Amino acid sequence: MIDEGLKSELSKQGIFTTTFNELIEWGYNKGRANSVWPLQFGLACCAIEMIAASMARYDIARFGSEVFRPSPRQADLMIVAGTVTKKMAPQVVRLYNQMPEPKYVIAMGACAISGGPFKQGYNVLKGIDRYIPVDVHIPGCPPRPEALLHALMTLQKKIEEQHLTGPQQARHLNPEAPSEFPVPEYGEHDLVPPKNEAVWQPPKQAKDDTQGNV
Amino acid sequence: MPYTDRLDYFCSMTNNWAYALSVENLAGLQVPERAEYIRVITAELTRLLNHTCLVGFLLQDMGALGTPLMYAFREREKILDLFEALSGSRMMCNYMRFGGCRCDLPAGWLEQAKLVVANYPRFLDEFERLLSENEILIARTQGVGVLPRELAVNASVTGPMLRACGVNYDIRKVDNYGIYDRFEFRVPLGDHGDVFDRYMIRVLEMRESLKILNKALAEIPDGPVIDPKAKLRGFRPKAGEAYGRIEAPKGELGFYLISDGGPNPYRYRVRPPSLINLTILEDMCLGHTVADVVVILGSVDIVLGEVDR
Repeated sequence: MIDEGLKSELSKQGIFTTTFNELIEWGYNKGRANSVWPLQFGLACCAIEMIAASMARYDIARFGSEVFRPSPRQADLMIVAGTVTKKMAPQVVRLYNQMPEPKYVIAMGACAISGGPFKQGYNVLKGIDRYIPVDVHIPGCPPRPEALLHALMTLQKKIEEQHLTGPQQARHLNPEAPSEFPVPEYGEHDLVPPKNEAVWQPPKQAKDDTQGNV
Repeated sequence: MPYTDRLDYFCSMTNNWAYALSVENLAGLQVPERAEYIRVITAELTRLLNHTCLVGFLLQDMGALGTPLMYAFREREKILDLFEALSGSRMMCNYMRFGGCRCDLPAGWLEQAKLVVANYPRFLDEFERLLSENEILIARTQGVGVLPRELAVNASVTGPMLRACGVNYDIRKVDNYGIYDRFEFRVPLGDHGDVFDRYMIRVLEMRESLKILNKALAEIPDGPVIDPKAKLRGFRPKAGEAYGRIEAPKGELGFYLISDGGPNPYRYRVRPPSLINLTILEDMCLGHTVADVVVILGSVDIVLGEVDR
């Protein structure tokens, strides 16, 4: 092991040192981050902006993500673009389950985040993050294609910072971390269960915030 | 009004207009001249946008992956730039109000719009040169998904679908809503009612839209853009019922409203062109292969936001 002081001294002289592990990690993460293949499916208006992002002006191919795969087995990234109705939610979760690890989710648009303008509707899921873990949220109704590109860049940064070993090991390398999540079923009145407790809990309300310690 | 944007998310402007029109019928609001012109301009731009994208998606369904859609979206971006300058949002414009429009045109908008309209025929020529006589397109579309004239009328199919069967029914001509009686344009009609006719009708309609746009952009007068009697907040129309319909790019879009004098409508019903045009899908598909179903579905021009509201 090389100590930190010597390492920074060497880097001032133009010599970079690294460990074998770090090198592997760097290559592995760079490779993954620059070829994120999204799953080709859209649910509503945001899907049109997603298509626009992959078309001439915005050109998502600059980020290595132009390969929209029609099969979840070949995809790395799920862009939940649009309103998730309660009828559609089990299928979305099932598609997520069928994707191989490592997999990431971008929730695009107000509807996918929280239900958006249809939040009060009886038939709209109030955010896909109730069932599957979401990596990046994009607000907007619909978000501009630039916002999608920014989300993709955020995701790439996130992928590049993942570690193969150690306490910050990436989720998909941990055999105990779940890679599939229970698919909700249609109950009598609503989806059963209404949310996956392991993934999402309602934000805690501060009971006493008069003293400023929230 | 914002919810109407999300019905048919390609054509938020026409959706706004249909709803505004039915409320204006109900409340008896007078739309100022300039606002009428702005409405016609935005509606025809929407028609261009919708038909361009539709042709792109149709070709995508036919297996021409990418290229036609890429061309279509290139033009769409130019129109969306105009909408963004006008309303602040690319897709969900939310621009019209009961009795007019939300705000006046920004400076230089008309020149920008004229430029887009002036360049559009070049794109259409290029598009048509690539597609209209394309052997594969002809083989895949001619004689496929024929919709008989009687069936189309009986199923209350409207819009380009109906006109492709040869029925001369365009609400812009029939109702003369807004100021459409001031413009000269032809209503292209098909003959066979197959997918190729539907494709061709849309291309021809875009050319007619350009005529309307050229005239409207040249003649637009100065003045206010909203009826001074219209109230944006606390709006209570008198009790009664009204139906307002317009020729949306996909067909007849109507809003049926019953008011009991309160701030919210007592009944609110949308007549969506996508849903009603879709009901005829089965009759068109019988006797064809599964691969043709995709093409026929693409030519119906549906938007799921409008089918399943």
